[in-house]
Amino acid sequence: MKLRRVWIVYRKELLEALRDRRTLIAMVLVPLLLYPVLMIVVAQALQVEKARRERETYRVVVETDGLRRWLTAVIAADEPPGSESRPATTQPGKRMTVAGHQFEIDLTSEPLAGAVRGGKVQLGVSVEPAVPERALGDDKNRVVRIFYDPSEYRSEIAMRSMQGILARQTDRLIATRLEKAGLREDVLRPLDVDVMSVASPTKLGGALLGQILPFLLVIMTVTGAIYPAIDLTAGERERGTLETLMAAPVPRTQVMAGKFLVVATVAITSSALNLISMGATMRFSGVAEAMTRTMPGAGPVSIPTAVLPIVLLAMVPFAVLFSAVMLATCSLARSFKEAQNYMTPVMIAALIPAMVISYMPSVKLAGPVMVMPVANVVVLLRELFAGRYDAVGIAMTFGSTCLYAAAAVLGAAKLYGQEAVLFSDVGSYKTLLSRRFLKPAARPSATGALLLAAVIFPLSFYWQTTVATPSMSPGRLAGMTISLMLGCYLLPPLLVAWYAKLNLRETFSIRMPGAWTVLGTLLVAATCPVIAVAMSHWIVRMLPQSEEVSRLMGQQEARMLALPTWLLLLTIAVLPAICEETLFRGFVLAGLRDRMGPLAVCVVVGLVFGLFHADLWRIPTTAVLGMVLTWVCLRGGSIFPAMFIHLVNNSAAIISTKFEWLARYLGTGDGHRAGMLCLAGVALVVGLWMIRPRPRGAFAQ
Amino acid sequence: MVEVEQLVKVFPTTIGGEKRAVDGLSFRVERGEIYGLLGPNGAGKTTTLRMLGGLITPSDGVVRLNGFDVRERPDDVKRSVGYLTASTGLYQRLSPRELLHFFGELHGMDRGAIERRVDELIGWLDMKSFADLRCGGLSTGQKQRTSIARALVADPPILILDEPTLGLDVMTNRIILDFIRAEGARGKTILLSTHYLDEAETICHRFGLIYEGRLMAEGNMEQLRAASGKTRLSEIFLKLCGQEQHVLAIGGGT
Repeated sequence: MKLRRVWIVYRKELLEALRDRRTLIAMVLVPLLLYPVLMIVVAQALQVEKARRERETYRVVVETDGLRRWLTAVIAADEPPGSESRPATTQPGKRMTVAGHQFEIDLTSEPLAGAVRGGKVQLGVSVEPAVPERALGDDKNRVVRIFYDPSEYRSEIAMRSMQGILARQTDRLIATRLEKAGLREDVLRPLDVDVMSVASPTKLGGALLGQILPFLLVIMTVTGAIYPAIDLTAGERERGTLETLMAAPVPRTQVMAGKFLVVATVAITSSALNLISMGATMRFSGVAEAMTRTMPGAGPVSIPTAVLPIVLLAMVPFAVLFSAVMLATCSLARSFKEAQNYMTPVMIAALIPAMVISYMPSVKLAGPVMVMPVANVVVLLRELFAGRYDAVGIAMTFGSTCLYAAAAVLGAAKLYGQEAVLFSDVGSYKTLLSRRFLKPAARPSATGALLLAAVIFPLSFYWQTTVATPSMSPGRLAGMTISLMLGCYLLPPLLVAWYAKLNLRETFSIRMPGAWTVLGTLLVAATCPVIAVAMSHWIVRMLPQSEEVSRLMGQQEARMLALPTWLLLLTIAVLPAICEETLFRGFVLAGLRDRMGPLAVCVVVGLVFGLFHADLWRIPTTAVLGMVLTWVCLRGGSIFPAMFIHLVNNSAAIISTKFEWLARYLGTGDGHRAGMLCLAGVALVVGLWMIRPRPRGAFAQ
Repeated sequence: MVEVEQLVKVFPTTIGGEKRAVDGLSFRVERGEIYGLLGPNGAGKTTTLRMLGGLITPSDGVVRLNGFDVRERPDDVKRSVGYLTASTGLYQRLSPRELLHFFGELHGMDRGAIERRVDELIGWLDMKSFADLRCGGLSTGQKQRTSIARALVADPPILILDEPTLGLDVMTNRIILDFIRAEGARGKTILLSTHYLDEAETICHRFGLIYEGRLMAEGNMEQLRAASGKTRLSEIFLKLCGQEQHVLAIGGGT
């Protein structure tokens, strides 16, 4: 891809976007003004509400004059903690202010429940047996009933205030009784529970922010990107400039890459400004103090400003993903209005997971959550705010989001210049996907290859982390592995290739290898497992496994080894060699090999292959193996050598458990000395060098 | 030079059928020639021009511009062609000067060459008064002059002009027609489509009359007059397309 032309498109689109009032409002004005204004409005609303409540008088009714006098005396004697208000009067029927609430006590002849239900009074109070004249009373125990209407907000508030008054009266009565009995007051408190918070102020602030901010950030990032995404695609089509742009000597992918970068820039800028504005508002508006008050005993809360740059970094893949998804969606629209309609489901797709996850604070960045679009970013942000950094979670979140984003960008590029989309008079969208209208092609497009990988990835990950539970029996585990291989890795690429009318020989490199390739393959197959085992040892040394992980991996290995050898070989070696190669060295490689150079394609396919193995300790080794296999298939022009090497590599690990000499050769015990590894490395390079296309192979052309 | 041989464009329809928008079209336009592609609405003119401009892919046939096959070398074709679309859509928030710079850069021109070419075009097309205003505020005539300048910024050897004078006032019309003539005289290969047949008669050297995707007649004015027995292009057009009786019937003529 010529980056200069991408830069030209990017610069022009960004200039246009920055000259657009609507983009500036969404990107700059809203974030910078929204939070301070929101804070001011909320603070003022709270003050108004407080003042209103202080003016509010709650009417309480009782059935007897004796009870009215008793209740008046109780309220008059009340000393609510921290309250400066004192009763204004002790005369029945007059207003009294207690704990910021005013009460007016009256007599009623109708049933208390009916009186409250009528809505003119907020509470009804009865006491059994009847109360004495004096407030502190005798030694009898009594039942006080408070009638209230929970559907009425004022009745609810009055009830809570009255409950507090009566609870404090109960304490006073207990104190009097204890005094009479000659007992100390603390006799009733054999255990004094004092809760001590050990969280630092910053961590506490981070944990609190982590509940609120990720959701807000997701909303604001998506909102910031919507307008430019529509304007740069559907807007361009509506204004009639798309045809002009398509007539310029720039490939669609480069045009789309430039546009995508602009939308991503706006989305990321919007994220950053939101974050800065939120941080500044919280720091300078007294929110930290307010948060401290909500957590009694937890100490002062502090806003963790140091974490904000890391949070912004974590927002990058999210902004990239949604910019790409929005561009792809808007690329289908022929008008601004149509694009706005298409944006509604995209917004919902972003907001619902973000909202649901916000309400589930116990969800951790583990298992399928790591690859669940949106949810993984929200949980990652929460973890970062709380000061938790999990390398596996961060790597999986970044990796999966980047994979989805790449597929979405290529999808957008594919859709953007389609005739049916470009000109409304030349066809319908149905012609884009209906098999009848698809033209036969030699190989899949890069978009198709990455889209298929992006769709299969979360399914495969979900299967590996959730369906295959540690408690599963070996037979069931084997059955699930076979279903994964066939259902996820083999059938989808074959079905897509058939539906898209692809040439199966070209797509899956079905060709007999040449003699040199066969020799090279044997050499690579013999040395690859040695290198792979050495790499695995080295990775475990660099990234030591926790006892829990080691135990679980050991258990899984032991369960698999309990299977009959033929079933073990089928599950671990034969099927992965056929199915995984069909997907990665077949479909994915066929889609990408025309888009990038041989080394780049090896790295990309290898990394995608590694990512599918969903385990931090296996990803590097499988990624390198994937690169080697991609090179073998690309250079040799046939998928069979890659399948053979894959088969030998996976089988070696199993068979080495049965044969001591093989274990020694592979170095599965204590590993090899450096000299032996160098020898294996040289043999591997020689093997790879020997692999070459057949002299007259179509692939070489 | 433009070479079109047996060009076909078939669009699938959603009900399972096909629509042959262009059906076996063949013609050539030589260097320095202004060729008018004429036809009623829906005849296939715009579809043909879009295929020539590399915007849509032909279903069949061969199209070569400046020696490059449109299917095999689409980028080289686009580099050889200045394509003016029927709409005067411009980037609203850029000025004509910025827009010309943008397209010059996309064609791979260096900054100095772009500056010189843009100043030249601004002078030729009388754009000085609005060259630095935003395109969103320009009149239709000013937008059309900007669009023509955009098509010419890389000084391509071939010009494809789809309705270049649509909706223009007399003054702008004159500027643009004079400019097309001048470009033809400079040796450019020009292919234009228009509904204004009188106008086409004055500037085109040869004509291709298409109807329902097929070429009904081709030649210069003398050849078309001889073939039809009519003198004016509009009469020739109706006669050769077999629509003369139909128009007379609608008009109630004799």
